[in-house]
Amino acid sequence: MAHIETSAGASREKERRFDIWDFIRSNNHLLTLITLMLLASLATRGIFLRPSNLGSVFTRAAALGMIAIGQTLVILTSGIDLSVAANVGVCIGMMFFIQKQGLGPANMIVVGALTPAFVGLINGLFCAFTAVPPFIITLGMSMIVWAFILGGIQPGATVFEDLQIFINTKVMASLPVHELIFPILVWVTCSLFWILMLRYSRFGHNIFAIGGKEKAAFYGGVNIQRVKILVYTVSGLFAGMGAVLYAYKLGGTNPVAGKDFLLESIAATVIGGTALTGGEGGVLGTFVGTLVMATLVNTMNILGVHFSIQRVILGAIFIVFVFSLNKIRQFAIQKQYSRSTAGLLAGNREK
Amino acid sequence: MLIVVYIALAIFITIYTDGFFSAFNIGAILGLGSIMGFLVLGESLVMLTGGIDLSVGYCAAFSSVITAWTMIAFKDLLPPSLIVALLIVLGIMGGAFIGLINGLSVAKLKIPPLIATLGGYGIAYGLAEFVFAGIPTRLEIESFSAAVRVKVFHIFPISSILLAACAVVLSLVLWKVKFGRYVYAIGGSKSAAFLSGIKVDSVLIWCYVLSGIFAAIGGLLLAGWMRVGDARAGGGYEFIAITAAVMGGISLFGGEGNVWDAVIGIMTLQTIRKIIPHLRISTFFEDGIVGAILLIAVLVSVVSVKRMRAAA
Repeated sequence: MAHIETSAGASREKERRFDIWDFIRSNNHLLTLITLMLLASLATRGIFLRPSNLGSVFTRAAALGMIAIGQTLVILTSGIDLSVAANVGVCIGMMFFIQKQGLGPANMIVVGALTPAFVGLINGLFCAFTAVPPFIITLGMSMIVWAFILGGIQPGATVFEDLQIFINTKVMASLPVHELIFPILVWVTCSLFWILMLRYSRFGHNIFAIGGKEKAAFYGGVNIQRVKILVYTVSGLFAGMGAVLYAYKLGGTNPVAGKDFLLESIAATVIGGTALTGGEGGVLGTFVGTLVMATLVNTMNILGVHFSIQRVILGAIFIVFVFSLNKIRQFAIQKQYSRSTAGLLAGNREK
Repeated sequence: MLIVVYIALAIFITIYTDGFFSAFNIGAILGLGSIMGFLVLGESLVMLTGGIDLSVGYCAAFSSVITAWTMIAFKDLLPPSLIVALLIVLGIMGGAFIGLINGLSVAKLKIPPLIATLGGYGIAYGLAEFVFAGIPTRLEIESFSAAVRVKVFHIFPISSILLAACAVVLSLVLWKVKFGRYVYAIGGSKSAAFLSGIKVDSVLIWCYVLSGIFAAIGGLLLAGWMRVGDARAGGGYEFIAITAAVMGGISLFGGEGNVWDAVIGIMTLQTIRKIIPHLRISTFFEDGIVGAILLIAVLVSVVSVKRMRAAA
């Protein structure tokens, strides 16, 4: 009894007291980013912090960030989208096709972004109406999409200068900012939009509900099918928009160039603190996680790490991150649990 | 079940094409099919535990690059026969290393297999690419590839006989040996297996290591078959391996299916892939057709599992 009394007394004090695991759990992405940026500036002797370099970090992050937003939404519903790389490829392929037809940059952007959205729609329909695991559906779809790109469109390396000129003169000219900031602007706007959507809209709440427990969400009156279809469509759409930004930034590319986006988008999501089991995390975390990824790649580039060794390091870091975030989550849940049971016991005693 | 499908397919093909089943074509199907068959063996083993291994393709690529590298690095130091022995050991160790990383992350770090092996995929790809900066490199020792390309009775490549032997051993292990029964037990229910005293962690780690080793054997043979060590050679093979395993009736949720059907699965798939150029369809569509088969196969298996549960 004495033991319970002390822990109950302590627990009330603890409500206001600082709990390290809780703090780490809710801010892990920010802590990672700050630590990493410090390490990066130390390792590169300050080159990292130069404004021109930071600018390139953010621009690089923008394309990945857009793709990772879609991936995050899917993972929040406890699914996974393995077709993002193929979606990036099909977007670039369609832009090549439209360019060859001479239909102009505006059409390139629209068709480029909507084709992956259509792929996402099919993914969503399959995920909503069959019991096949999402990773198999998106894997099979990505193989079909690759066949469509390589066998159907047959694009080569493409120069997207007209796209750059179009965006610089038509879109960005009316805004009072530098034109090169366009990818960052799109990325930040979309991130903000989805942060607000997840926090305040019913659709956002439904995503979390499905990820938390699908059956409970169903009995709670959530239209699971509609939410799933929408989420996968959005993932496709954002992969397409990311690909447009990627093409804009590079000024020329080929569809196969985006193959790394699959691993990187999942990594950015996971580093941002979104649980792979779904229902926990969000787009704000992914925003930070994307910056972490971009910082890592940028630092390794400055340090002259071989690009294939970078892949090894990213793979290893990926595993380490999933593990340590799982552990932190466990600790925090244990703490919460022990605190709430102590509180419960205290409440019983007062009655 | 699948064998019936295969026979139907074969009859269809014999009727609608003239002379598709020539000794040469059969040899080609068996050759690449059995090389991928090794990847399927590993993939099936992992899938029987209820996991999935996305790294097998680049595991094979890694060991094929090791093959080319060993031949160049020890060219003047050792006689060719010793080099071949060494490259087999090194290649298999490379595969086992990737498998060990996967196994430890799944069993000890409790990372979902899909994610853990995606990490392993990145590591294997990076390592394979690092050796020759991704450039396909010719094998120095011609006799190695000549040996791999030997066809017994002018039809059966060496790799197909090796695969048959490995499949027999593996299915016996899965059927008769404790380890094999543990694999099925874990696939059925991890917690039940744990509570009945099975060392789940070590069985899981062994499964992933074996998957890496099988993939590495596939990679060695692939290098010999293609006469090059190529970091991108195995890319996409993981999807083919998964598709073949699912076609062979190995459940995605673990604990069901057997290795033999998976081997028949890869042969069926390889026949379909081989018939595509024969029908004058662009080979770019091969993967798309495999993807469609994957979706259909999983759909069928999910529906049949549902029926079985409903009947039980």
